[in-house]
Amino acid sequence: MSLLLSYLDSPRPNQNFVLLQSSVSQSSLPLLRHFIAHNESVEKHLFCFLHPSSSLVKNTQSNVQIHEYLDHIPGYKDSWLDPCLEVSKIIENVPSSHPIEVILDSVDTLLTDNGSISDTYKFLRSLMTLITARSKQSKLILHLTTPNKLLPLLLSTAFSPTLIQCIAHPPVLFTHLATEYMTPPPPLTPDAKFWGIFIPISERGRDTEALVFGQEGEGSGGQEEMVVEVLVRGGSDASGRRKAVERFLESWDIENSLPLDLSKMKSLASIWRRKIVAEEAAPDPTQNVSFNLHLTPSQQESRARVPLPYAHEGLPPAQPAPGAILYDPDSADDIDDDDPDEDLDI
Amino acid sequence: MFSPFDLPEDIFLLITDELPSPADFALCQCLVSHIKEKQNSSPRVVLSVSESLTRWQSILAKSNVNLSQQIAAKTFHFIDITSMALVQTDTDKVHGNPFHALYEQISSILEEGKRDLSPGALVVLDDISSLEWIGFSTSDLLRLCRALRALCLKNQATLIIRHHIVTPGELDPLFRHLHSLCTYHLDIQPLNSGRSGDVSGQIALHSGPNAFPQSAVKTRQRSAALQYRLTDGTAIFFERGSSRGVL
Repeated sequence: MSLLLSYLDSPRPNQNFVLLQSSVSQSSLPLLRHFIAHNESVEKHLFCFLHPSSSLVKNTQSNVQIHEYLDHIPGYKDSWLDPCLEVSKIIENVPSSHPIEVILDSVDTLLTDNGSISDTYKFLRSLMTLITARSKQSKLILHLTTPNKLLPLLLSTAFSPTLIQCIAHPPVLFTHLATEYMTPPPPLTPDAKFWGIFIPISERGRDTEALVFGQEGEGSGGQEEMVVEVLVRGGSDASGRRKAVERFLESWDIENSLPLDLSKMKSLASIWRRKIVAEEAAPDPTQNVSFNLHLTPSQQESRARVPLPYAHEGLPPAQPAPGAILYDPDSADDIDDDDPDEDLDI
Repeated sequence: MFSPFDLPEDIFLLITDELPSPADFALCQCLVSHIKEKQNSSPRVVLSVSESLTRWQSILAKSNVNLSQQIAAKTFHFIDITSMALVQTDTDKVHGNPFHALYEQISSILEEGKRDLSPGALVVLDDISSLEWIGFSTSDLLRLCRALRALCLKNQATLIIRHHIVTPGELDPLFRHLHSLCTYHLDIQPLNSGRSGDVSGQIALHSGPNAFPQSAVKTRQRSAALQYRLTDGTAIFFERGSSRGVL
């Protein structure tokens, strides 16, 4: 059972804010598509500023109201107005008796168009306030692409004390960590060690981009599968006890829009393949021969009594004087103990 | 559109190329396949920055496409963006947008095509990088791309934009934004091993963020890229290692 989906499906109180984070290396739009299609009993308002609704919603869903602002571009629309006011009005006018999900497909586009971080943050904060004032199961789902200057503000507890943050990563990042850093994903590596190495590298972004778009890269992130890093703040366990920040990895089957076990990912199969080193016993050459190589006890005793033709006969040799040269001259040697240089007159 | 990739219509196709492997052939083949496959009077709009109409005419003539006839029949429109955008009209100044007049012109062409019940127009922007090098701001160019994309979606037209990669492996801001908008990304690169007489380069096709999974389009990552060889009038595509004279 997917932990991520269990957080989304279980009605934990006040878990109102979901942030989906994409990068040029890996888009989290497949997750956004799943969130839109999931749970058809909840009324959803999808605001499209950058991505056409046809790319987010496959089949017409009666519970999803689509508000398209694709052609709402400064300089191209006569008397362009910031759509934030309109969005707020739409949400305010929805009856507060039932839960809703408000989905913004591109926070970056809002920021780019109005040009003000503070104005965009104030708008999003006001949306969050509207959501938290409604039913506890109402949610605000934002999608953005990093790098984004709003991200630190949206992650702070001042924006929302509870958070489910989903960051999409390409599978190549994990094969790189496993080969270059000898750090495969958990449970093959202890959590503390893995996160200590993974977080700085993933946050740098450029390293992942080099893996995907560099000379050795495939030119795109995962097309069939991706890995999602999930951070949950303000969650609670089955007994209702509040948990600290929880961080875990999940993999996502993009084609079938389903969670997948990390160990079942085709792109990470090389990490999970276990190399079974069978310690086989050395083959015994005395087995399966046509003659008897074994000795009887009496034969072994006789064999032990045979003197060996070794000079030291198994005893350690006597240690010679250090540096001494021992020489036994034979009859052909002309040994003269006189000094040969005696007659020199230098 | 564009065999052997068989891309669908109503998409935004981002074509990137590098200096040793220009994508002129891909643009021409997209245009030729659109003209030949759609015998109706769907408008084709080419927004050109650096190439003249004469060059387009001579290249397409090798594929038996008579651009002069298409222009006379108002099914082909050639717009020189540079001269148009550098002359700011009053409307441009009012909207604070150097491309407003250009946008209006394209919009009227596409709407006329829709009125004539000829859906499936094609808009080609060649190329966005040169506009940046000329001096237009990245934000103006991004808004132009968004506006063209919205216009094409509204009129069920296909949009193709070419972008030059200056430093392979380094992602410029324009590429990042174009990538977030695209449905598919055609990635044309030279061979890692350098120039070859038999192989001009390789093409990979990636799904963009806006492509729905389980589509019929077969994507190809760089490790499985198709190679191509340019001939006098066209390009020939083949799998790695299967070209004549290649081991």
